[in-house]
Amino acid sequence: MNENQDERLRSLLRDALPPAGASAPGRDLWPRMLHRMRRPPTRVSWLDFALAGAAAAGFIAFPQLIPWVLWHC
Amino acid sequence: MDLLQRFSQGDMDAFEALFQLHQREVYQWTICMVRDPAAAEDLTLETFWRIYRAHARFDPNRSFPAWARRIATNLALDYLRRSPREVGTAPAELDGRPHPVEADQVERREARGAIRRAFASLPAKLRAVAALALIEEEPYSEIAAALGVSLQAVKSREFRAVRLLRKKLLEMGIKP
Repeated sequence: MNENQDERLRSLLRDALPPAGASAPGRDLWPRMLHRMRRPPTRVSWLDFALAGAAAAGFIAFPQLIPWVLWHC
Repeated sequence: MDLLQRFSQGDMDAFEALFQLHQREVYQWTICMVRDPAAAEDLTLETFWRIYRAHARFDPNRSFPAWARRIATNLALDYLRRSPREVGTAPAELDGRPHPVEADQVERREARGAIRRAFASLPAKLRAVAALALIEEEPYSEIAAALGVSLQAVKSREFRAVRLLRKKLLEMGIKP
């Protein structure tokens, strides 16, 4: 590709998609950050652990199920 | 004790100070890649949330802005992979006022739309490099550092992006 073609493509791109680098967030994001940090962490219920344990036990007992499960997921 | 050291020990005031110092820079880098203000805000918050959670692993001798930029870049790439392949509209087309329609204007608007579609159809990795190198004209070294790849890899991705864009534009009837 020669330099003229390269430059033309750049200018076409910049005309359609003006550079965004000088833009700033519309507001201070710190209040949203604080809100995010104060949100309680997601708790995993005992049922989730039980299901994961049962699945692991099933795969250990019947490893031939693994390809079948992978195929259907 | 300096700011970075206090941050690495979990000092909340130090984290807030770093957030205030670098939020604009992280946002600007992110919007260059994703080109959507709302998504760039969300990704900036997600970047600082990850930084906050990883404070104990941060080495105060390292560069904080480079670390933040690296995290922001990875998040932006994930976003580009997941998001529908659309890009923001040019500001001139968002004012909504009626303009006298001239054939030349219509043609230019159509061409811009085609270019945006071609750009949006690029794979995430190429799109990110094309946005940073071709549109924003960021130095290759900074793009390479943010992506965690070599300078040669950045140039190669830029070359592939240009080739693909050229091909797609020709298919759309635009001679780039």
